[in-house]
Amino acid sequence: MKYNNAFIALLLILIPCHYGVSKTLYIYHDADYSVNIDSANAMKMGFLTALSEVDNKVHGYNIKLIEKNHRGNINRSLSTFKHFKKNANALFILGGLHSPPYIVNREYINKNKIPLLVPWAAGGPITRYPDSKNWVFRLSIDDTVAGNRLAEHALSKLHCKSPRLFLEQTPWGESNYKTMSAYLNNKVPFDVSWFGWNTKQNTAEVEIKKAINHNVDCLILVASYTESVHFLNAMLAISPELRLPIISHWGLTGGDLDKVLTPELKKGVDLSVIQSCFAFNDDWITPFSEKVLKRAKTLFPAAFTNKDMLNAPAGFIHAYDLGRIAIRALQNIKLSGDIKKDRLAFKNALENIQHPIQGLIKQYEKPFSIWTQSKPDAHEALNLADFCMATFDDKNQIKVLKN
Amino acid sequence: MRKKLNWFKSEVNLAYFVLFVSFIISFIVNTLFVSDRATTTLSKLMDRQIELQANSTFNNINQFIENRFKVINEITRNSVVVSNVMGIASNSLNLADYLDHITILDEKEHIKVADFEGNIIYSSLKKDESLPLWAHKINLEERQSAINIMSHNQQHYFQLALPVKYNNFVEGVLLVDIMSQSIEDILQPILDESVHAINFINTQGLNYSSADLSTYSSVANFDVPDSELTLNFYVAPHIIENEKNSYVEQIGLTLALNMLLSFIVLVSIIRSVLIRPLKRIAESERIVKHQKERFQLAILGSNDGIWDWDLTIDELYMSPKLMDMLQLSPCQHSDKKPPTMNEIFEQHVHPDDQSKNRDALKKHFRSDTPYDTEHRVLVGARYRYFRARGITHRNEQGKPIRMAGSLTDITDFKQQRIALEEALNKAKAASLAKSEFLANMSHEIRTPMNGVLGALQILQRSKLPDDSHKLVETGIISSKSLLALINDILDLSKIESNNIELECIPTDIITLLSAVKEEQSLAAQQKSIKLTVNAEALNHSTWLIDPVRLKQIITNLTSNAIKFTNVGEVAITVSEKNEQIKIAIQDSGIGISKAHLDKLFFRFEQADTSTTRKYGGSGLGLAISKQLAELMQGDITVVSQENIGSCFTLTFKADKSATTKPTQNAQAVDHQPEAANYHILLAEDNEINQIVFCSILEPTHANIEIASDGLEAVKQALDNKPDLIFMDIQMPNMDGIQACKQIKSNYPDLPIIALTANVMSNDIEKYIQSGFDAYISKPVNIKELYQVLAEHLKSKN
Repeated sequence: MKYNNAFIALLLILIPCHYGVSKTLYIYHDADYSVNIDSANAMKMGFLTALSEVDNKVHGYNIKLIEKNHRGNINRSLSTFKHFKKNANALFILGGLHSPPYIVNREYINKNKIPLLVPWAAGGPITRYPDSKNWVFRLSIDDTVAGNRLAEHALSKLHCKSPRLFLEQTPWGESNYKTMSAYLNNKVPFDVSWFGWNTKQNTAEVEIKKAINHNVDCLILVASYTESVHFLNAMLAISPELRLPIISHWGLTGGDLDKVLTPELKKGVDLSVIQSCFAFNDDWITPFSEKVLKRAKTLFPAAFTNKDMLNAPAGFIHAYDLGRIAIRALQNIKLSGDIKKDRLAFKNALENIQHPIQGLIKQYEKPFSIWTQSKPDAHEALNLADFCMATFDDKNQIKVLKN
Repeated sequence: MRKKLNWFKSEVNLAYFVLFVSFIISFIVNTLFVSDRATTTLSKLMDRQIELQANSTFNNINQFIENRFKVINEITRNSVVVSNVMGIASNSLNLADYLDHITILDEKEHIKVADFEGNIIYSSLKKDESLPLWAHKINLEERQSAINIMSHNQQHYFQLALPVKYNNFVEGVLLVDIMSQSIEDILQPILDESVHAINFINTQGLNYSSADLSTYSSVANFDVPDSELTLNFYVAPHIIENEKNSYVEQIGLTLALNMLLSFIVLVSIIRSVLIRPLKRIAESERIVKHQKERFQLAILGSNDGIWDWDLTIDELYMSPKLMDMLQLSPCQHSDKKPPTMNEIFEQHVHPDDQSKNRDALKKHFRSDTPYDTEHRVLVGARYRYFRARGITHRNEQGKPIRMAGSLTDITDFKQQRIALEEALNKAKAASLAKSEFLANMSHEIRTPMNGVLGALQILQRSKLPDDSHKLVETGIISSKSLLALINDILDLSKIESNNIELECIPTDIITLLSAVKEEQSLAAQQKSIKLTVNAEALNHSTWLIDPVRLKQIITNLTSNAIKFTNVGEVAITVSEKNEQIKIAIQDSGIGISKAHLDKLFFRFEQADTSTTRKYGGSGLGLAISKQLAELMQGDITVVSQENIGSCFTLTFKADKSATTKPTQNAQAVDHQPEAANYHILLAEDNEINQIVFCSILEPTHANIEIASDGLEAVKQALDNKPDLIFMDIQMPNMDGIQACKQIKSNYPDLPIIALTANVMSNDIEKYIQSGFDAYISKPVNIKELYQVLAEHLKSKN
């Protein structure tokens, strides 16, 4: 009896030691939980859905996602990165919708060896830090190619002869300019209207009218949700016969579409947005994706109330797929408890996933590899074939069009 | 003290005193009442004013801040600012470009932009700064806006901070230091630093005061909106109090001045409207009383009776004195009514005087001729003389309504006057008799003398043996002496009977003295005596004097001087001083003893009887000269020393004249004028005089016609119209004056010369007024006659 009690006591001591005090690894979700909260939540739900498939644990570590609302503010995002750096239990950062924070802070991120997994921000330079020690990985639209999709849609599908690029005056806008202008050059004459953040409807209307006066026949818009709303309303305010079709980047889909996509607007303005080629609708659903959706609805019933799909589905889709890749990478390493080492191991694991990983968008054979100058897309999980244009149905659900 | 009390006895002074006391009381009451109300009202007003001032100050400051907040807010919304705050590094240059040139209400201010962590991403001062904590609260969303106060170079400035938002989320802070206008500059025009002060405080310990608040009291506080700032408004109570007191004093002073002015105006008005009239009334009463007393006294003193007749009701008032004078008494009239004027007239005025009296009354009523009559009134049983005088008061239409006057008993006076008149008549008669006697004597003596002297003068001109010539000359001299004596006697008589009148005509004294010298030079030469005239001391030669009488005096004195001087000289000296002429005749003669000087100027007196025997003379000359001098408002004085000489000095007053009129009798012409074919009429009743006259004129070859009386003269003159008429005055049938008048009425230009022995001044005047052109006195002086003839011949030619 005496020995049984001792054994039990020993077990009680050892078992916890063996399993450790329940350790937690934190994932910072650096996203805009303000105006673009729908996209932030979608990304969070997607990632957590993937995480729930492993019971939110890897190697005995609880994996917890912490919301870090940067509200689109680059400096606030940087602050998150700085905080992450100091946090010995923070493994990687899940990125958000805005590209500028990751473009502007790219140097810091990479210099400080912060693994950043980007499920939405599409700015080209984000994943192209010119060093093999590139710590940023993206599963999302890449503007170095997305711009081609937008421009190609304008010319081929809408038959635009004189498009105008309306680009936000940010690195995101600038990277799109680079791509689109390269595509449009020598094809059609085009011009650019740059606008800053906080551009309102009146300014947007003035710019659109200028374009109309210059015989522009379509508008390629690269703007965040807020500015996109102003441009759409500005276009709606213009006489119907003068309105131009808008081929928009996906910044619009980062916020509440119901607020902007009124029946009048959908009827009055020819709007198409770029998306990744997947949607939770009949055109794209698979048993796998149904299972994922079901899990998501179970995990987040409130997000699916009165809807078949949550808002900003691209965020869910990308974050889910990225989550599965991240989990696979984690499963492939041993966590030492030294966060720096663990981050490095994690990064390396991401670049060396050998076995395919099923995602919503596709099956990822080897999503990432070591970045080199000759392989600038090494940290991009998706490519041009994965980018489609989309419209909106009467329920404001995104209707992804097949290429 | 009594003097002071007496002052109050005057009603006017009492009125002034009462007014003054009223003024004092009113002033005190008003001051107490008004000052209390004024203080209360003033306090309320001042409190209200302070409140308004505080509100105004706060509103000004608040407006200042609000206006700038509005502009700053617009800047925070700018996309460049927002982008940069959001970290869009590519926009940092644009941010500098934008903010470097931005002005806030046209002023360049210090602008800073901070990110959400408080890092300054832009500073207009281009220096490293950090966002202060009070502004960072905006980033922390503890405040919507923030206001701070900074100090710089002893001035204070507002610092305003607003959030830079993106999608309504605070992403940064825009901080502006308003350096263009210090708080002191803002407050200066709206705060009187001596009275007001403000203080800003907040929970962070900010404490800005515009002044040392130890002497101020807080009266209001305001929270600056959208900030932690509180503005406290202070006033200096002692200054407010002083101002209040000053206002109250001013009110009091104004009140006092107004009251004083009112008092002065009131006093002036009362004085003009009440006191002066009252004074005048009192004065009038006093005057009336005085006049009444004087009147009554005068009545009593004058012994006159007063009557007052009301014409409208025919009621006659008679003073008691009048009643007494007329011996009337109330019981005289049985009906006890006072008598009417008419009754008095009928019952008391002498019947012979009633008509005259009524006429005088009517005349007075008609034409305002003074009513002043004398009549007899029955007093008792006898008539007495009374003088009635009165004056009428008329109504606006000029109708007499009242008459008042006096009645004076002049019976004694009348009697005295009658006696006087009789005495006067007697005196006049005596004087007239005397004058007539003198005139007659003058005429009766001169007339035969005319014959004597005339005949002798004619003889003198004819060829005679030397001894006969001497006798004729002696006769002439004696005749002239006799004539001189007669003239002296007549002169003396004229003077004594006031029949002499002095002429006052412009006379050249120097010429006159020269004439005297000329006339007396022969006598002086005969005695080898030097005769001189010195007029150096005479500044003005022509004076208004009687040349005849002056010459008479000087001639008398000079002839006396020559007479009583045997050797040496006689000097005539004339001088003037202060409208007084002095003529001195100095001789080196025998002199006059003191004893005789006293009676020198008595008539018929000479120094002594031996003088008469030795030197001759009537003794009338000096007496006449003295009296003439006294008539000329002068005198003759004499200074003398026996055997040395005498100095007779004539002093008299005279007025200067600018012109010289030739004397009546100019220097006589010695030779006869040629008057052939000149028709002369002589009217003379005395045959001797006729002969003498014709003899004198015979050498002139004039055609002489003679008339024996006035009637003949008139007839001959009217028939023949002579060239010249010599007319005697006293003639039978018609005297010379009547004849002259008649002739002159027909021939006014026919010259008529009076020949007369009546040389009294009034006679001469009468002749001239009767129409005579000139006169020649008898006995006729041939030279004078020739002179008159020559003049008339000259004028005729």
